[in-house]
Amino acid sequence: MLFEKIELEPNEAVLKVVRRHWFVITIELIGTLFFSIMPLFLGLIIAVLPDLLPINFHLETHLPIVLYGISLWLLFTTMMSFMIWTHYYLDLWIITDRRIIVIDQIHFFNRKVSSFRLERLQDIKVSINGIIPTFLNFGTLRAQTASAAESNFMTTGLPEPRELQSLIQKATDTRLKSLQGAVAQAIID
Amino acid sequence: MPNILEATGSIPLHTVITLGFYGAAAMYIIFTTILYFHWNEYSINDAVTKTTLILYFVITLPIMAVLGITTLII
Repeated sequence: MLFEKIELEPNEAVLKVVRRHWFVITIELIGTLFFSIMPLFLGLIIAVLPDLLPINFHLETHLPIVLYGISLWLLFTTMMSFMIWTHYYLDLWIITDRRIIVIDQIHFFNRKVSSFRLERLQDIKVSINGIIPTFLNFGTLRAQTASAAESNFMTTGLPEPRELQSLIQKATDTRLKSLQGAVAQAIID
Repeated sequence: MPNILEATGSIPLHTVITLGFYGAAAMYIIFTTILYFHWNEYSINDAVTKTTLILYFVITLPIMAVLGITTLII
């Protein structure tokens, strides 16, 4: 499982695990559902207008071929649906009290796991564009860090982005205070 | 009008159908392996992983069975 691989530090607490908004995956799955029922529409068109086909085609005699074609089509669309679901579910923002882990499942063979510590966070921006994102409260979250390597992290379609921004800012403030306290204590000692 | 089962060409229909089935079966096996690996490796919830994989097999195995049977019939 993923948390075993990430290896959280001792006493590190997961504050929130965020995935994209349900609307994002619903739209994608409706698209594949529409694709999967396309043979049905094709069958209806052929049944209503049989002269459209340039060949002598009878459903009764060609039933195995029709079933074969439909099965092949359904297999591909089902695999496509599960690929969409996998990408949706495995794409994550894990916010802990010490860092943010951004997991971007781009394709099956393209997975990006980035992690940055809260004390290195410089800026966090939220943008909500469009009517549906405004009503359903989802948008894009951009985090900029002071890292020398990759300094920008961005994910679209995150639910409740303003609340998420506020949570990250609070966690960052708490983290900075605890670090400052630890430094002051070390100086006193 | 030409009959689809009596189509004249260099490759017989049965061969095309059989090759199509083998191709689909190979793709299915590769896809299933990758899917299984991803869910087992990267998921954070055992219950969701189990449900997803069960649902995947419940949907796809009957489709593969129909594909196999129709290949044999054709």
